[in-house]
Amino acid sequence: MNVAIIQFPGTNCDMDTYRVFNDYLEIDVTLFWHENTDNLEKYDAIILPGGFSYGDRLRAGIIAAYSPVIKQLKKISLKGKPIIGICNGFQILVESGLLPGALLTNSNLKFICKWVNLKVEHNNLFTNSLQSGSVIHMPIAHNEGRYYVSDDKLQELERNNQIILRYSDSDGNTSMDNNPNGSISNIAAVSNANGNVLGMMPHPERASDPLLSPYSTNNGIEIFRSMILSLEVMLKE
Amino acid sequence: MTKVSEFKIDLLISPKPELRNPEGDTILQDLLLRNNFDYVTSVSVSKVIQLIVKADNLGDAKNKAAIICDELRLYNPLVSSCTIRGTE
Amino acid sequence: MSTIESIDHSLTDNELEYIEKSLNRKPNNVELSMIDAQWSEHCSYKSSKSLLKLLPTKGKRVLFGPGYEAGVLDVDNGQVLTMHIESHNHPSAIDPYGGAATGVGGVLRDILSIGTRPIAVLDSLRFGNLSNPNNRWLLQNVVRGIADYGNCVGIPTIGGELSFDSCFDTNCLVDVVSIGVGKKKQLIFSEAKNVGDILVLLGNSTGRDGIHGSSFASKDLEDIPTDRSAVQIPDPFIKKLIIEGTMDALDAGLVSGLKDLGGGGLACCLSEVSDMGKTGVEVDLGKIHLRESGMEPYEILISESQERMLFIINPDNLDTISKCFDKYNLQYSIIGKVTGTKHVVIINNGDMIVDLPTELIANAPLINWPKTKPKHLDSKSVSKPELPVDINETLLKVLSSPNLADKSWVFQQYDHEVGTNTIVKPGESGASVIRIAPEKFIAISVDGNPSHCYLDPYNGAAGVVAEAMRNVISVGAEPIAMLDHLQFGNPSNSDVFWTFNETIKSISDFCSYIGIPCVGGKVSFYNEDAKTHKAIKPSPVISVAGLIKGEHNLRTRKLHSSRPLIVMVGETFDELGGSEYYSSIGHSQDGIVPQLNFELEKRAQKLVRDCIKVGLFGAVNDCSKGGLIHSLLQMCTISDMGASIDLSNIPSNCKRWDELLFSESHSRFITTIKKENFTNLLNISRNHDIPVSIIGSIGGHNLQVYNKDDNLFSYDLDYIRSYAYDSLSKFMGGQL
Repeated sequence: MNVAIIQFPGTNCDMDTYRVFNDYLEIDVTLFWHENTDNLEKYDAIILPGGFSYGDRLRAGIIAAYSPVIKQLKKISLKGKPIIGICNGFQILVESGLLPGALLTNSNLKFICKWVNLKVEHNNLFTNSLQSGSVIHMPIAHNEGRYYVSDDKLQELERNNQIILRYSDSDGNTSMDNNPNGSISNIAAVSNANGNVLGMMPHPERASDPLLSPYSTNNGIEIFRSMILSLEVMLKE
Repeated sequence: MTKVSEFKIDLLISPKPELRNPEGDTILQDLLLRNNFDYVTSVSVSKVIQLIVKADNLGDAKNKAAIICDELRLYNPLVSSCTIRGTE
Repeated sequence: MSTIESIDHSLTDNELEYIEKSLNRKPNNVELSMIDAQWSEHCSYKSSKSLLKLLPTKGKRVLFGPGYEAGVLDVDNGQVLTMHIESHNHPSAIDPYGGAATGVGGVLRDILSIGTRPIAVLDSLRFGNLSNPNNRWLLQNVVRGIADYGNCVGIPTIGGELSFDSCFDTNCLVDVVSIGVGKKKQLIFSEAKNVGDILVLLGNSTGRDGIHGSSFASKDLEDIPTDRSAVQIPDPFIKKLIIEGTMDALDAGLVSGLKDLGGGGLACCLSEVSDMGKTGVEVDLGKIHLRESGMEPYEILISESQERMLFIINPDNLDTISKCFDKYNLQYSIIGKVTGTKHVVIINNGDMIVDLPTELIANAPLINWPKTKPKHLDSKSVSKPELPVDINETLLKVLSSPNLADKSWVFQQYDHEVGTNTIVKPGESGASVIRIAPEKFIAISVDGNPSHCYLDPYNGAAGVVAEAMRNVISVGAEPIAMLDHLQFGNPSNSDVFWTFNETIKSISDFCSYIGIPCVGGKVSFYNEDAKTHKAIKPSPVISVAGLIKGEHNLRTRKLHSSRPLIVMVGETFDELGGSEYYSSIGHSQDGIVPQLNFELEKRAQKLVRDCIKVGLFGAVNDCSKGGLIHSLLQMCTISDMGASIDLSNIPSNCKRWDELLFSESHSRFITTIKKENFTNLLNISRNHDIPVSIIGSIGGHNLQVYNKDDNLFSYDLDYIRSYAYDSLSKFMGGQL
């Protein structure tokens, strides 16, 4: 099994994500520079890590969304391979159309870095090793994390179980009080209709070591572990 | 009796041309030129703040907008210029 | 040599005479511009160099100290820690966003140019009172500038300090500390050491930005200049690419010398690399990648365009190194070569337009300003305020001072988690901790206290060092080095220069006594009101680095029910001059400031370090600004746990409750222990001859203070938060 982590000029969280796969999960992982002409298809899963690709210029994720490697990614997505976009990665996925919606400036108009509670809404390829309905902890760190979709689309996302994580309180209740950035319906992570592409604003790679967590938890690693377990099943078939 | 009307005033806040505009440069190099839109030679990014101002006439509305700009420091004159445009 | 019309410069007649005498001719205008830039206070330290020599710089882990791009410390296993401090006071006062952002850019470049990767940033910010909207505007934009830059470049801003005083109304202070890690064998220096090496200028094109930036920093702030050249535009995206390109080039092992271009631009950079290398350089201006056409030679040479690095390499290695730059689409130009002439030679259009001996440019004649002891130091009144009648009102007033308030409004704008190594985060202690290897951590603090320093420069300055050390000890670290940033008014003001002298003496004395080396620092003069010439209060800012081995040695302020007893370490004295308390209740800024007893401080620090090592102490917090009550409140709020204390148990001769609560005496800590460990602690404390006492216990959700049988006050933590501790967010809430 081999996972690729795509790097753009300005990507910052590539090494953090690499460490989780390489050191903690002991999975073969490759740092894939955006201009690399290798075939992306030879990887079993692709991660778009967080950061400030192209300095977030014009709009976060837009310039990366037009790069050749993302064109390749679109084809790969159609084949059902797991793809995770974290923070800036999520922004790239929405700008490229691989995920619905848009990520707008936080409602308080500032960058926010803090740990949040997240409710696991559904079990899927990326959350199978977590309990649906449980509350997990991860940090967010973003300027443009306010998720938006039209009301129609929101209903569709709900019908199709595409809302994977929501910001919540420690008991799993969701309201504006525990919504750090004004995302519609407290959405923190969504998947595509097919369920193989996940976009999430919180950083699971920063919640994979209990020493880094104010709660001494490491829920973040479960996102990656779920994906790997699902892949193992998929690859056997 | 003077009729008080409403005027739409646009404050165009632009980076001063003689200063660097890293955002514009990145859009030009990494988005436009990379995707072969090579007939564009320069990009600069500005911001528009739109006000609806109650005033006696357009000139008065623009003056009021200018005062707001300066007093509340809607732009930093050291790095940006502010063009005030208005319509009835 | 060509002649040009007269140019702006700040050289004195004496300096001009000196130059002419050394050269045996008049310098031309381009040469004058170069010397002017290099001899500015900011670049040359001409007013402070001789005094700075007093600071102790040797230590068992010190590899390189002051005089290098950054301080370098051996932290075992072939790993080095680098540290540096920078300020952008003057630029931030007129363009807070750009000034603060480029301040971060500057300090990162220094860490990078010695061959290490920057891993963290801290900021130390001082503004006038927030009741003035201009100060809110400055704070808002300085924080945004630091956030946008640090976040984009992917380096965590892990801590800092923020305080307010009316003396900073027209002269805010924006200081930035950075630390880096790398391999000892990969260290590189800013020296052009090999004749025949070529000079490669990497990064942003050179434009008219920031011209006279370093001389601007070396003057009092005039009316806001409309001249664009004082402004420096930040570009963290290109900085990120430069960091990656540079690290790749260094990994290839083919770089001979490296220096960043900061104050004084290319002029200073060239003179410094040839001075360090004891060689000469020759540069052709026509080879430099420029932003705009029609630039005058002097403009090219003193431009302070950001994000530029000078690589000095063997020409055979150019191919390999340029591939590192090409990967990130970084611009570069081969601008010249290293010669053996010991001169800085500049060519333009085939003509030699500058030919200056390196030794001349790089060594400005030093200035010894006159000193007189400020009168206010002799005429101190020591009247005490009346004991407040309304304890509640007083307490809430003090605790709601923005100086003491919760700072999450600031640090939640900083990505302090990127890198997945920030172990002790902002707010969790007075120092931050970052992991640099498995089971190996660096603690870093930054502190200042202008109120103390104004009233008593000697005790104030040494006290700042002590506080910064205590903060690092409180996270379980052994202090290993410090940086000093000395910020004062105009050195030609004899009061100011006396105070500067006193400050250095004090820091030297204490650091020598307690055994902590100074590995770098900065001096920032000319921080005074342009109209009234009133100087800022003396503001030495100190950053201390510490080393922690073993996760089990890490500590924070967080309370835990397994260690329920609250212990006070150290004695509280009646010395409230310059305290937050006096400031909050409007008592004139007089009185005795906390006296630093060197010996007592050393013993108290050792006691705490020893007790942490043997696992006696749970939560640990330094006790200083705002006194014991503030220190305790910090511990309760971060843990969301209440506490109850009895003032009569505090080791002290003070009788008044306000003195006990708010005294800012040195050499004190608050910690928590298990009940069964107190006897052991008592024995250890006797060996160190430091008083310890159980002053209370944790529990509930209230902050409760007794004085023997009197219940002085009891507040729910949520109440204190909303009425006092969250005051900063409230002040800044209306800002966009």
